[in-house]
Amino acid sequence: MDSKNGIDLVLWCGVGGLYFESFYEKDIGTFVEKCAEAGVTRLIPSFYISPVKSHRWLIRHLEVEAAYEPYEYGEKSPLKVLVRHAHDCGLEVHPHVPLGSEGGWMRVSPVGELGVFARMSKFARDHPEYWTKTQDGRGWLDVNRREKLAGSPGIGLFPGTGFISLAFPEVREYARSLFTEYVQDYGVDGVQLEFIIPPTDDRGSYLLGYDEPAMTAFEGKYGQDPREIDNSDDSWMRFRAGYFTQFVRELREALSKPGAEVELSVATEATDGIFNEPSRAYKMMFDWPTWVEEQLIDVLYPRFWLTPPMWWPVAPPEVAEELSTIKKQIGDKCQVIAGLVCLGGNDNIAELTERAAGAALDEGADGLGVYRADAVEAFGLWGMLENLSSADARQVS
Amino acid sequence: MQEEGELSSRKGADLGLWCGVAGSWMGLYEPQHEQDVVKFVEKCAKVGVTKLLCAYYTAPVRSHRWVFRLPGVEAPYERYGYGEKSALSALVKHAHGHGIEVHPYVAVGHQGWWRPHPESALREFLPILHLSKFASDNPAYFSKTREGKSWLDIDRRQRLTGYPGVGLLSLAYPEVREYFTSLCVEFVQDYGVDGVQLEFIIPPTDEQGFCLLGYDEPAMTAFRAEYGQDPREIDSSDENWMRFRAGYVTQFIRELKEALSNLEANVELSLQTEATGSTFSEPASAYKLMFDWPAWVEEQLFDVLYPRFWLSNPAWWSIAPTDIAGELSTIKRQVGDRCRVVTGLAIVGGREDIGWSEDIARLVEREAMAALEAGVDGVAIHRSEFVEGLGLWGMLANISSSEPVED
Repeated sequence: MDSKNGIDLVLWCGVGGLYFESFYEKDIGTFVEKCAEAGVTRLIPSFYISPVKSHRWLIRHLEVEAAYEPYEYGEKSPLKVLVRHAHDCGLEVHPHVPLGSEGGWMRVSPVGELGVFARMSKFARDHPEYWTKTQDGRGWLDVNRREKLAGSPGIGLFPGTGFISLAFPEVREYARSLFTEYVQDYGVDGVQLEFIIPPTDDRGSYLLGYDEPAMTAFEGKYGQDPREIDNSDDSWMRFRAGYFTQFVRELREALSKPGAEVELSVATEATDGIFNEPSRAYKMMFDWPTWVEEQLIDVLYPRFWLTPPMWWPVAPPEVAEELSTIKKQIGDKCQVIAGLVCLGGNDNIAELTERAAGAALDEGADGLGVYRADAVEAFGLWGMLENLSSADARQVS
Repeated sequence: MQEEGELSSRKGADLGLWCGVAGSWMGLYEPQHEQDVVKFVEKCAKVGVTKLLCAYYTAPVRSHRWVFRLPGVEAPYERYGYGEKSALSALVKHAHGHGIEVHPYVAVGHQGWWRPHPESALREFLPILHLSKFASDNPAYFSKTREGKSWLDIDRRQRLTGYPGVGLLSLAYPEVREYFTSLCVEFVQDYGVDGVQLEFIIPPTDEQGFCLLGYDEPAMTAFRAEYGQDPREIDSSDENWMRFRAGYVTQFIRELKEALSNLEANVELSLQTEATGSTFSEPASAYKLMFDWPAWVEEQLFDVLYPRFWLSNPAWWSIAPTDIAGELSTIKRQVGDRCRVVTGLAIVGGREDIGWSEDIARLVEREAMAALEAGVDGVAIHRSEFVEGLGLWGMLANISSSEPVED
């Protein structure tokens, strides 16, 4: 089903309209129907805990561990059910996976306090050596969760989130296999790499990546131990960013095989200069200009936070300006869909979103994305989605 | 007279702050670093806080332990040290060092919850269950609906006006009333607190505002004996039945007051609940919510009433704007001089028609001043992690003094 004016209207969601959980098939069916009626063309369900047996998760509290498997698997999995209903209504499904994020302290309050439960994948639990480390050799679990490293608060809070290192080929293989499993076993139409903004220093330079394979290879090439040079050393920064590019290359190759040809997109927050200063993006390991240049990705989703949540007081975005910069950079090498974040609640969020949508389309965005379905439901924004999917969207700005 | 660096409360009114033990709400509890508590109390003292109302949804006492459950697993959920090592001990020590009182609060009947995801706009529940050991060992004590369903019988995805998110034990059981009484007594005897506060969670109600719970064996048996009727065969809004159920809560408060009065320490007993719906605007109907505060005022069962007005509106709880002045006036008329009233102002969650911290601070200050001018005995702010997270310490200082302060 095309949206009413031919652009893609994308909705980030959980499997049943809620964000984090819903497993009744009737919920999923109802949600998909609402999306179809509102003109949504593509669903991007998030799976922070993956619904596949090969990528299991657990929860830990003190010395106690328990399997954390909120989904059924196989034919009864919510992803299967979602794909079936979505396809029946002509919608596409592109599940997204946060790249490298294999653990985290569960937040307990809207201001981002970290609680006493840790989630982690079994893979990461079985291989603690894969947690990426700081210059002083600390991994996520070595840092007291009350200690905040300098850098991005909220989403990229370290040690709130545990990242595994893409410098290990085993890690790249593990991460890649989840995407290929989605394609081969679940019939999805595409996959999305969600890139979580990592912790950075006050110059915007990535603070992690001091991992054995990377340090060994760097020393082999440059004759220097990375622990003895400045973290923001350009060669070292580019070297670390190279592993992320390597992952995207390997994933692209895996998705180019017959039977696995699906769209590959990447999404991240349009903050911290990631998009409006393309030449610096590698410092956050998100070297999207290189990925575009090598034509490794099909769609780029910069996500603009129109209202800041309590746990992340970001500055209001300049949607038109950033999209203009992105379009200049990508040319016709990939598409760009403007993600519009309406979390945080605001009496005029619909108006803000529609205005931003108009600005994005005027700058040539190939589509619009709304983040997230739970906010759409909670704030009654289905009418806004209808407006976005119609020709009126171009007249709002 | 204000001392340099520490502001006395305005006009002698109390400035209370609902909090966790170190300023955070839930997260920083274990192992509790005493320096967190020290820093938090110092900040409170600087801005004129006189009373800390600290939350204990899972109690820091060995006799009231908690567990968590995931499919196939039940394990201790122990976030605190106990006794001298407990966060509450540290808080009392440091708070008293600054002349601040400590009043831990207990959610009456609340002995279980499904863990909510804090980032969900719809307040979704994760599949992690928290229960007190007492409740886990005695699931029959969970209060039931007319159909005989307890909280645990209802899928957490099925919402019944906020239930089954929270599990409430029935005060119709003397064992349950004893359990909560003993927790409050232990706070006083072993931790030296200055008072205890009872929080009343708004129960699930029908469309007419009548509590849907309370169909518990002791209550139904006693009602049948007195009225010759099975409560399941009459309307849930039947006045006799409604008042009968509400009577167990009154009974609990009587028993608690007696227990506290038998202690050597002279402590304050306060009550708090949300000033939503008709809880305070229609005193004669309050019993429908099992919060029969007019009757408790009449019997002089408690010292301070904290109606809590929500100035912010979390997405998962649509609260209609409240006529704060009007409700305070109603409350003051009802209580007379039989108890004090402290206005609670809640800033949890966002607010749809204002921006973040700067606007919320000015709104809270305006409402606080208006309440004080209306003659309440103090103001309390809910909650500390939002004060910290949104940088609202200056707001507290402004409320407690006449000198405006910027954060």
